[in-house]
Amino acid sequence: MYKLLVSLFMVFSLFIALGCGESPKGPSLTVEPSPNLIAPVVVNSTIGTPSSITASLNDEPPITQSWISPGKVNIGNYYSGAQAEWFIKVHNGDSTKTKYTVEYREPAYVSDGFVSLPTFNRVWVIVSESSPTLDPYETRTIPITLKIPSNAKIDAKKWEFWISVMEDSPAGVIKTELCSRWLITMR
Amino acid sequence: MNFSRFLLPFVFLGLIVLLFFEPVWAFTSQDVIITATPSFLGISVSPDTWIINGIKGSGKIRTNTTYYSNPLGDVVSPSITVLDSECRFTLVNGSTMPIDVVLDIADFIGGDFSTNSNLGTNGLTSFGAYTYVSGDLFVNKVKATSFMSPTLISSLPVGINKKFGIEITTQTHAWTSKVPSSVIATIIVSAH
Repeated sequence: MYKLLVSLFMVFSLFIALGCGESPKGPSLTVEPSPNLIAPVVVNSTIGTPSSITASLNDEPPITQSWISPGKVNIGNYYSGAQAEWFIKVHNGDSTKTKYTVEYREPAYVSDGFVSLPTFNRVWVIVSESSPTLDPYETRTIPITLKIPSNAKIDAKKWEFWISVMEDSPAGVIKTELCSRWLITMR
Repeated sequence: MNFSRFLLPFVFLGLIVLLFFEPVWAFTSQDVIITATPSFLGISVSPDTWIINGIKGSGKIRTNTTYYSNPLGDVVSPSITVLDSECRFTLVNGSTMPIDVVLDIADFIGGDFSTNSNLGTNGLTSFGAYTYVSGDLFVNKVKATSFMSPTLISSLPVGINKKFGIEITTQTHAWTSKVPSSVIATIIVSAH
């Protein structure tokens, strides 16, 4: 019996390891939509692959323009203890290497019916690369994970937070901060 | 016994592999639905600098004086309805969606370290700041605070230019350091 249990555990461990090796970024990233797709791309994480994709071609901005994408991310049926992972694309339109800061930001304003959570803890937002340096004209995909502890009490049904992307500019120039809006609806 | 000894290294190896892969084993929880719009957000602002009292003036500033980023004159207030020619900055919405724009102005760095009063008015060691947009009534200028300023431009359509300017009223207390200082202005852009 003991040998059988040990054998089963070993097989299970190898199975998991092989599975991770094939999909190191997790299921939600393996279905990453092309930047040439236009809304909406829906991922129903119950099955870990896109449940539906409605898309049409759209023009990407010129390579010399810095941009981020997407502008809005809607997370539905969320609850404390749940995890939601999506990504943000950052494009460096400069002809030189540029360092960016990617981080959680309190919303400057919110959508109708949504609130900014006063009790929100910024550590609940995990930015996989918070200070990337991009090569000229490089586009980088940066996973963002929202993970709220199961014991956290969220009073609002709908709330919003932003992901801010700001390039390191020399002193004395007007800085540009591009913000992706994340709108959360609790279940 | 021999079989267990043989297996133990593999079991430990399996545990180590599990530990190693755990951080990247992130995914979205069951039943949580994510909908993203893969549109692009990007703007350009030109020019991206302003020397206060440096358009027609010397670049040196007086206390208790209101300066504008007005190409027609550093202390010339814009018209009742702000004209393009009275705005130094041009913002181009290069996004693929309408955008909202906010402009924050931080405290001065260096010199007398004058701070933003966040009230629009100046004080002994603080300055007041506003922003204004071409086509709007000048009285509707927007207070520029160091954080969370009100919205300057709402729902700017795709590919549309908008000209805007900045107003700063310097502190009332005389300068003591006589050292140049600078201030950081940040344009915050988000999808409407």
